[in-house]
Amino acid sequence: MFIVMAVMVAGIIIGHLLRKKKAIFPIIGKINMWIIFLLLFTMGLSTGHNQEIMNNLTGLGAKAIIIGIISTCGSILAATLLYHYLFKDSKKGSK
Amino acid sequence: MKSSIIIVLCFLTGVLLSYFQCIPAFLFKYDYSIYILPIMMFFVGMSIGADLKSLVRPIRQYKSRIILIPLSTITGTLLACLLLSFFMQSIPLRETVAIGSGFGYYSLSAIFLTQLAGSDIGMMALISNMTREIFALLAIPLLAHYCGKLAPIAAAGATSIDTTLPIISQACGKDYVVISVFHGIIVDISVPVIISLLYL
Repeated sequence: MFIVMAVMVAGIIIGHLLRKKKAIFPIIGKINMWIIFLLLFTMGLSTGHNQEIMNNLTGLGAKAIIIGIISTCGSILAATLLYHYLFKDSKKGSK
Repeated sequence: MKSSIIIVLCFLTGVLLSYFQCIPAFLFKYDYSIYILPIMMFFVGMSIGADLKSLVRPIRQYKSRIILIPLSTITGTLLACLLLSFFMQSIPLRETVAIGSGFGYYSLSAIFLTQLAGSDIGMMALISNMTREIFALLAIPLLAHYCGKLAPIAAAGATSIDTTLPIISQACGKDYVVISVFHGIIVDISVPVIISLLYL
């Protein structure tokens, strides 16, 4: 996590130095989208390869998946309510 | 919307290719996400650097309310696990809450729970928290569109500071990167705290 943060700070500095060259930023957005697809593909590869997960998809594993999804949904619900009741005024400030 | 579908397809293709061994096994010696993540973070950093105000704008806008975001993520997960344990008789309440409170930080919570609650619960913590990370990655573009800009960060849980951050920045806009990092730090810290409180 430290390396990742350090790389991001390096990116911030270089991005700041290049801020006048407006043309490169839409390209960076596109590249990042493709890298996201690549990341998900490699995560799929390692998930399909993980015997502990693939052999436990029934029984305890299925229960674990349910816990994972329901707990995520709990957080999503809480965040949706929070956004609508406390952060709505700042909607215009995004992007 | 479209990107969510492509993300799901990329993931499923990966799972099927490696499960049916269409790809030689020596390729799995490395975890590629370790190498991909810094590249993505570099680009996220560059887009912030081009507009440095995106670092201070959310802090100025939300002020102390920012702390409510990780708190609501934690509360939402804990309440959902409590509710769920009434319907899942075979797993005790404490274990259900402990597994859920990994918040996607699967390495840490699996190690902790293997030691505290045995290898079955540890394995469940691994699968459950990987599910959270993957589910968040797949759903983020949709969540940003339909549930507000905070929902993707909440779904990401502890991973909002690393794996899911580039997608959050893409889906919510770079103003949410600072919030996402802050959220990730607080939720990360809460994982060992909550689990050790449960097993006092």
